Amino acid sequence: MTLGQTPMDAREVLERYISGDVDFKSVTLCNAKLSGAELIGIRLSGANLQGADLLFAYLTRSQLDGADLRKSKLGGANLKQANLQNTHLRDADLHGAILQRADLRGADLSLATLIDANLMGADLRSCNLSGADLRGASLRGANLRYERRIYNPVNLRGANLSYCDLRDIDLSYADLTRANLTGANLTQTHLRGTIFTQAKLKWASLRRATMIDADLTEADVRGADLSDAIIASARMRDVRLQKATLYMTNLARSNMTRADLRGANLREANLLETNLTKADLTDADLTNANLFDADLTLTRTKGANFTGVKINDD
Amino acid sequence: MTARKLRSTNSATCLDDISSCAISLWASLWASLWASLRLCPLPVCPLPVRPVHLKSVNVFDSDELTVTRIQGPDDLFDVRGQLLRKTNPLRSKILIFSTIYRQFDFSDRDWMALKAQELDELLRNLFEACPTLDELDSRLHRTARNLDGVDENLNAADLLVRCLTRFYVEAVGDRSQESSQESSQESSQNLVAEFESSPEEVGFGHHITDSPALQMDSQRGSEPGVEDDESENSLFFDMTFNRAANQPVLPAEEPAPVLPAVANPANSPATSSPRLSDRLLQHLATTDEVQDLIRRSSKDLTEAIAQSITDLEMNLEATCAHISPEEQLRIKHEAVSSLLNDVRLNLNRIGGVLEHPVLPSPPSQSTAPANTELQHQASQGTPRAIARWLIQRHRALGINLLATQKGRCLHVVLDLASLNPSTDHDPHRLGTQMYESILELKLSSADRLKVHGREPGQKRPSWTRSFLL
Repeated sequence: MTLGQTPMDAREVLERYISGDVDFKSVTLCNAKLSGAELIGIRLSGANLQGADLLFAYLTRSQLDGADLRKSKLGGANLKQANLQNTHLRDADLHGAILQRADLRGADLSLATLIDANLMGADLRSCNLSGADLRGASLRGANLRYERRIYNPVNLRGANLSYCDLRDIDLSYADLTRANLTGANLTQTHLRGTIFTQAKLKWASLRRATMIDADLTEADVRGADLSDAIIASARMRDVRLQKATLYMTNLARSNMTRADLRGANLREANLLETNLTKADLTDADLTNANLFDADLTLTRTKGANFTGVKINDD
Repeated sequence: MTARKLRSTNSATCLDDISSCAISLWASLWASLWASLRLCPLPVCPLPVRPVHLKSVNVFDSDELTVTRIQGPDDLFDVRGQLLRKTNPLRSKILIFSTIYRQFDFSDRDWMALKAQELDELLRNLFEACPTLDELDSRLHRTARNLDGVDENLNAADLLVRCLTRFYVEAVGDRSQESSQESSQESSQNLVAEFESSPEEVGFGHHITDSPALQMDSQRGSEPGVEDDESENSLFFDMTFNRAANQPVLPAEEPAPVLPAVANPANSPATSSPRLSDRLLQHLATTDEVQDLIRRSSKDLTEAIAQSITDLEMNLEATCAHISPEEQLRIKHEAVSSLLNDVRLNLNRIGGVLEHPVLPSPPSQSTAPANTELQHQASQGTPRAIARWLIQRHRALGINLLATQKGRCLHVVLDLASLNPSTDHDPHRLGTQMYESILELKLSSADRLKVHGREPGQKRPSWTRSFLL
């Protein structure tokens, strides 16, 4: 309807919306007070909503693609199935917002607050979530997949994902450098080539996760549960795995130089050709583990249990 | 754990046979102390009642890891998943916040506080703040009606109650199993029967019997908000299950932590039966807490002993440097054995003192004044004091009982299991004895007395006698 940036105030929007007009493309509504407003299905593509107050607003199935929502307040807002493609949500407050099945492809959510947000089934491909606060958010069934030449890997550098529900999702090649994933649930998550450099994964559940080629350099994985996970060919230099559960974990051909595995449970783990140079296996349990062709140069093994390990004859 | 500890401290000296011998000795010694502790019929020791913890103990000994986990099948992920999917997450958070802290007023301060706590944490705190499912239900719904968006809030409240029910039920199930196991362990009582008390250790016994009182005081001091009625209830409860619970109070290095006040004046008083089952839950949580403290103390002790053994070995090594290795080994073996024997002897003595905790005060001079003091307190009409006085007065029966007041009627519940086997269980005689004692108090606060006799493990009394005062 309107082209270019048309300044408008909140009252006008509401009045026109009630009279049946839903088309507000490219309007300017900076700092508008629209908290609790019912704006279901509204079209705000390309609108300028910087700093707008949309607390508890109903924006179900709204179109906000390309809109500028930087520093807006969207706490508790209902954005179910909203179109948020390439939306600027940097520094936005989406605390406890409902983003279920929202389309957030290419959106900029850097430094956004997404604490306890519902992101189930949301499309987050090519999304920038660096430094975002996702504590307790649920991303079950969300799409963060990297697709070559179409969608870049998700950027989650330094994001806070503690206690986040990340089950079954595909985070392959995503950048989680220095991210906080304490206590997060990553059961069966696809993490091929994911970068976890210096990330915190304390207490996280990584059961049955696929972490082939992942980078866990200097990551803090203490007390985490990695049973049945496949961490083959991973870069795990200086990784901290104290008291982690690595039962039946496949660590074949990974580089675990100087890894700290004190008190870790490595029962039946596959350490085929794993590089454990200078690793610390003090008090670790390696019962029935496969250490065939593993490099144990200068490995510390005091108190470790090697019952039934498979090892080269020589 | 003991084994691991000993082995690691001994590893430098390669004395595996000694350490294994030490382990077995230590195990038997510990078993005997444990048995002696669980047998002693300690007098009333109301401990701070703490709601059930969803959190479990940190398995990292000396680490900065502070993350705790919820016990239970799927953590809270599924509960949270439900809440996120079916309610507005922010509204749910505000609802919980307002329920456990104060009405959320949308000020910056409250927003900050709300952002600092994830739903996960709020859920845990909610669970801790509401010891019973009834309380959870009523508090959530009450708050829901006072907040904007009533419909959504009520939905959220319903869902919360439904999701958390599981944890309340599980907690009760687990605990009752535990207590039934405990009773079977009482068979080990013959182990300690032979231990005798030695008079010089009475001071120590003093300490033991004193400490509950101290704890009680500190508890009271720190929570003035709790109504007297409420604390009476907890007494009622503690005493009821005192025997099953076995709360041996070690000379505790660390006093039991004090709970946040969770009193809910809107709830019905103690004697109705749903309330009792709730109390059961609370009480079992206390038992858990106590067991935890005991475990910690025992761990410290074990470590201290293991350390002493290592020290002894080092010293022996220094003194026996000139002797042949086999001879050294023999000497060390003997030395460690005799050290452990010594320790065991001392522990037996302590156990003996605990066996006879009947006299908290030296008999002759101070008993009489203490008695009159008790009677004086009891005549004020506080049920707690009355209970204490009655126990003191009917020491011969060895009866454990509790008192509570509802309206103008004073209830006295006798724990029939605590009666000496020699005295008869005649309800009429017991009732009359209590009645006569209560008459002496000339209570102005009650017109009626009901004496109930209750078998252990039962919620409802097996008989009741009423008297007019």
